Amino acid sequence: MTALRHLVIIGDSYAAWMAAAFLGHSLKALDGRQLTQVSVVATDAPQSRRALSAPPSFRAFNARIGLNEAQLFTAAKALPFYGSQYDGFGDGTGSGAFWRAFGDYGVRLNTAPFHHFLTWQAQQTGMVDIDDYAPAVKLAASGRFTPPVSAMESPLSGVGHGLNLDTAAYRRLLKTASPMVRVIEGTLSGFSRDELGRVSAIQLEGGQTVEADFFIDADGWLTEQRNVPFVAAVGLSHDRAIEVGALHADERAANHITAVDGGFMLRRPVGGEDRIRLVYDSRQIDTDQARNLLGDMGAEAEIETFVQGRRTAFWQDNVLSIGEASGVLDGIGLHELMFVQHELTQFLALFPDQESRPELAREYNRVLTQSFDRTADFARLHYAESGWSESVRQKVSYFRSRGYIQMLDDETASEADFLSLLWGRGIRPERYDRTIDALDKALTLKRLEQMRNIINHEINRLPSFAVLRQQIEQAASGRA
Amino acid sequence: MRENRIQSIIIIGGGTAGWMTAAALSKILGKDYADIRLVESEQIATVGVGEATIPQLNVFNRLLGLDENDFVRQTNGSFKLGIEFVDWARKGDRYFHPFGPYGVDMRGVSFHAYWQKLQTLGVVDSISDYNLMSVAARENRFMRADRSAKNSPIANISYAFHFDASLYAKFLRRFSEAHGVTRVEGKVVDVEQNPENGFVTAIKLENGERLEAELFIDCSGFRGVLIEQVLKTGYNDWSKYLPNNRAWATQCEYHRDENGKTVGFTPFTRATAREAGWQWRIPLQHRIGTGYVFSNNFVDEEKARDTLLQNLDGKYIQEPHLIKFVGGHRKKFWNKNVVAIGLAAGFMEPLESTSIFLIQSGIAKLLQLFPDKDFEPADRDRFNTLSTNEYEYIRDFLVLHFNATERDDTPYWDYCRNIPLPDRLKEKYEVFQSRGRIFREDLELFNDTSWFAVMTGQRMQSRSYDPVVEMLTDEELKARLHDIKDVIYRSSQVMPSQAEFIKRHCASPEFVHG
Repeated sequence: MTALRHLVIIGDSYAAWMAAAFLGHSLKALDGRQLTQVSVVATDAPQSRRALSAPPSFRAFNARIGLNEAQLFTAAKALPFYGSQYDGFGDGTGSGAFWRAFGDYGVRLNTAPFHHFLTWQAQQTGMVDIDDYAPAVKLAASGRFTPPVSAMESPLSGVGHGLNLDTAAYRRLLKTASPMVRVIEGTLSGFSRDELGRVSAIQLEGGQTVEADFFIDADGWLTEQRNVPFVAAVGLSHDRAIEVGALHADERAANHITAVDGGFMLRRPVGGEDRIRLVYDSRQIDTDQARNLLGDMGAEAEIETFVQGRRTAFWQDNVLSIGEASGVLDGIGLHELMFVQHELTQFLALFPDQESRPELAREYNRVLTQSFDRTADFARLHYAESGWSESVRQKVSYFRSRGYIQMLDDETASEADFLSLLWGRGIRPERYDRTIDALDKALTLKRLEQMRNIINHEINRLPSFAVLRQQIEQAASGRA
Repeated sequence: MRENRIQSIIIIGGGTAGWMTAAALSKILGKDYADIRLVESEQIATVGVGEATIPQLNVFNRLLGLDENDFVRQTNGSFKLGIEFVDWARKGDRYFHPFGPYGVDMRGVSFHAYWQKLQTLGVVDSISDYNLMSVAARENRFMRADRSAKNSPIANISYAFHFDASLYAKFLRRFSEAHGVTRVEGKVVDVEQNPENGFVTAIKLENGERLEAELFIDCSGFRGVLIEQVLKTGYNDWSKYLPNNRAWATQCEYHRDENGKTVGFTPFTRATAREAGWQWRIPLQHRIGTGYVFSNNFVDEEKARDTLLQNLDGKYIQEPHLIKFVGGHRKKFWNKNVVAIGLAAGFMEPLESTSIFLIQSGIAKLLQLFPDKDFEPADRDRFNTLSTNEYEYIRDFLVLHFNATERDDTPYWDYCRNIPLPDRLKEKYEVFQSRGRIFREDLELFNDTSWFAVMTGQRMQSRSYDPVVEMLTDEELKARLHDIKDVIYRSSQVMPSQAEFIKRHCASPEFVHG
């Protein structure tokens, strides 16, 4: 095998700079053994100013590129959050108000997944509050905070916080964290192919040519030019977004997702402000209505347009499409940063050399398109049944009939995510796992009560999040 | 919903499958849920080849609340850390497919990649050195995990069991009867069906007795008394992928050395490739179970019997008996109100000890999808889809063992090298060969450790490995791997021999190892 000489990343998006930092660091560590040079062609495409959210596993990505959380707090306007409070997501029944947070529900009492005990408890006693068993929800809802707890016996041990951050600030930080990466600024004007049909170079306005043996498209231009087919995500109709900033409205480490007719409003705290994003279907909400929904702040804001769906292949020949160049969803699942992270780690694991190896691209495409489609399914589950795919229907019918959540490979959502959403939207299992009938009823009820008490007790001892946020924001503004 | 529940269940067949099903249903559903009867005939012998298991059986035993020592003692059982494969890729080769992972993953990259890199540095060593189960197996050592030894490999010892399947069935029979199952002696001679929907409504026994039930579980073995003979479900024949169709099975004594001590009480199953198939060797407390699985298209039955008899540790205790089978599965595992479990559902040769696992998995799925009187078609479909997938995943893993070989010494192995590969398996080969990576499907039983163990054991090569491993320098890599190997070796030395362990905890009266 012959190592790649030159890899070019195209684009100026957060995904482009995540790739640059990630590959730059790998390149440094690889000491030239798999790859000699990485360049970023920073195009002048306009970048939206928006906030994004990431789950606790995002920490691993940042650690790998040498960024710690304190740097993200000060330089990327990051703030921790535990989960999202939904409102208005009922399906005709109930209010559709519920929480989805990072961390599991309860502790297993036998071989049955814990949530079967919720169904059991509901059938035994006529009442159950699922949030009583979710430490992460309790943390978010009560406005408290804890650094990650490692003691296995603590009910908080599985709970971690995710991060909300400002993408413009994060991009700036990533640029400083991309060692050994050459930056070329310019506007794309064309590209050329070699005799095998692989891309050999891109041209910039002004006549500059950049040759490379592999390209990562984080802009979308090259993917579009090469006519990689795009398939729309059936049943997902949102196609516009407006994002504005506002003063913090709440002192909790939590996002708010509120359904409106024809869309949803996502409010998330980042350093110094809340970002409010209205995502909607232009066939149901026109531009004026959308601006009105955001009040005074909406009058000037730019309107983003998009179509939800993905490319049929993310890796074709010697071009890899990542981030919005590979696929776009409406963001209700808060998956964007995690998905780019997933794309980059999979790419590195299947890292190509100069020769064409179709099996690498095939494996990459299998894993990533599947993961994308499962992320889209998680988004579909938020909306009306008419937009559900067959796989969502199956998941729901299995849950409704049996209480089991069928978890597949490469899902970006966790079992707890599905449980929060299914339960929160009023979909309840008719049956629970029969192994529970083998347990002593009184004893089981008592153990459930103890579980609730321990969680409450632990949470009530913790400090409030407001103090921490104040410290983070003061440190950040001190630096700025 | 309560009045809609199934109130009567009949299990047909009292082998391993029948009694495992009876035990699980009676334990989980409890005494008052439904009337459970098991019909078996002493005139019908059970096959009972499935004497070796995989670690998932621990889950089943825990579900029943069995005391492990008691279970091992009563079934003349022993412990199993993995499978040793002899003569598979080439004559003279030996490799171990262990339970539990190799080494430790570092920087988010699987240990396999680091080991692959090490091979390119001219270091000759065995992947087995990085797995405690494999290292312990070499010296016939065994103990259970010591969870208090945090950070030590001793805290994670994965194991399964070997046991006498007929004793296991008896053991589970006592358990089931204590939990309210009624055993009915008799042979099924006639079956009644609902004329409208074809559901089985009752069975008649030789003595004229007529038994009604709402749910029937067919554990009658290859014959498939209800699933095939009555419901004509049909069979997916996998002979083209899995050519073996016969097995001679027997039992023999242990070999003894000049001091009269037994030799070869191994904490693992051995599978030795032969001219037209392979031989299993399952060491129990009192004897060895062994047999030759072969294809009668490549060797005649008498010759195969001779081969088996020439390859015994000690003298045989039981006349070899011939088992005939066709690899594959019923087109539906659950048809109308009949659920097939065990050999009635399908058969795959015991190369990876999956028979008992498939029984257990069938029971687990039945419990998850336990029907009421409506017999929801959606539940039945799901059961069938999940079961079919499970069989296919296992089949592909088995095909790997036969197909990825360099052997060309007999027409049988020539055939095996040219088995038509299912698409999914072909993908797996390609991905492994190019990057040493394992392509894993949803809900697949065998994980990447298993695939890696067998692929490397079968001498399959990959052209390169995950480049992230380059983040360690060659010297760092060698040093880290050396440390891991060292810790594993030292951990193995605190383990007693399997014979000592069993003597201390769970020896049966027939135990013969000192």
